[in-house]
Amino acid sequence: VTTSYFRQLTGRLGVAAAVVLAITAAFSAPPAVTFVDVFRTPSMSYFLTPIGEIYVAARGQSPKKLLVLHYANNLPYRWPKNPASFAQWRSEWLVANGANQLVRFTHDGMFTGFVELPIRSPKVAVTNDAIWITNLLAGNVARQLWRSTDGHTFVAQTEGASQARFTSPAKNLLVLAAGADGDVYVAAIIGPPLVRRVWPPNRRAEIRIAGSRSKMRAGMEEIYGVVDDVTDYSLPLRDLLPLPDGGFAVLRNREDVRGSTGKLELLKGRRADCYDRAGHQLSTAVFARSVHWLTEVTNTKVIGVSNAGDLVLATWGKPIPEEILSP
Amino acid sequence: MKQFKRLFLAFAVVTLLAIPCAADDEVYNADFNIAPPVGGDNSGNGNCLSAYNNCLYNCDARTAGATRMGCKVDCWFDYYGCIANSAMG
Repeated sequence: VTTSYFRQLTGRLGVAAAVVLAITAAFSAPPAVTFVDVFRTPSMSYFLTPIGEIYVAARGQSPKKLLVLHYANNLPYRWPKNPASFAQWRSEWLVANGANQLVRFTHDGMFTGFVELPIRSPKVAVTNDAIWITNLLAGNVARQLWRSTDGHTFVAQTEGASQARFTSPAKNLLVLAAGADGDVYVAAIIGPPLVRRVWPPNRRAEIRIAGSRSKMRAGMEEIYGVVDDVTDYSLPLRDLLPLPDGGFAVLRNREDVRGSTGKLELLKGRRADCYDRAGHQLSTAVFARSVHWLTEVTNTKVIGVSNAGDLVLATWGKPIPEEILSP
Repeated sequence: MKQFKRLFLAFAVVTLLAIPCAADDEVYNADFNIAPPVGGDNSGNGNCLSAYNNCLYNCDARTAGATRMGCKVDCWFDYYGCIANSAMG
């Protein structure tokens, strides 16, 4: 009697558990996605996940899954190191993951081979006529940025670049942005609020960008050796979007601003600025929530996207200049 | 003796050719000392440095030669990703 009662009970518990699981599965939200990089064309934005999926978003739309980078037998590509950056070069996807190769895929995501690199690269970007990569292990600015016009041979961009030895390999943490029209920008993630336009050669410039920092943060522009926590350092920008008219938009990163109580408060990825082709600040927009990338800029508005794929729209207003605040 | 001279010359030429071709891996190793940062800056609330040190420790324990160097550069890539995430987070 006891055994039969026990069987009945476990059977009922099993059914109840199955029902609960089915209800949970039916009503739970889709699995959260975190993007690691964005690739923008004039009409579309593409997003990369750390497991090698590509999402696509048309102008003003949320990202939707487009493809999974895969082998010819349709199995997902096995990444020895997670993909970190990607770009579309002619009809191929090129993916960088810190190795001395770029991984090549067809436009629909099928693995076709590698582009061998002379350096280890965590970042790739493209212009209309060239592939650009950054050097994970550069010892100075002259070894940081490499360019290829044939898709095979990469040459270090040494013109006008400093050969002074870095104080830390963390100086290789870069924002790299390339516009389809040919403009290429580089900026240090840790350092002073500066953007370098490195291409085209006749428009090379070093442009100071706006941002609000505490006196302490402004004094932490130089990094020495290997550190545990970089959040107190000067981290001026998180993204840059070249614009078709030769100007560019910048998404500010960590800012210290005066709050309503008079104390300094932290703003992260909340303000963007528009600059003209000469590097003059034209306007500033404030996002309601933190974003990671800028995907669309018009005369009146700017759209930012978080690394979870949330779209946030902001309107351009009066330019808010650079500021250094005492506590 | 003649053979020895030839061998010596060949060795010298190969060595001289190799010097300007030093890879960035080697430059990195020499300039930034890829060995675990002793003490380091542990004042922050991140965990990038401890993960980096563990990674380097595992490279030393499990690999040798060129593989060890590659392993340590992979540790650096992970550290680089870790601090990039905290910078942008």
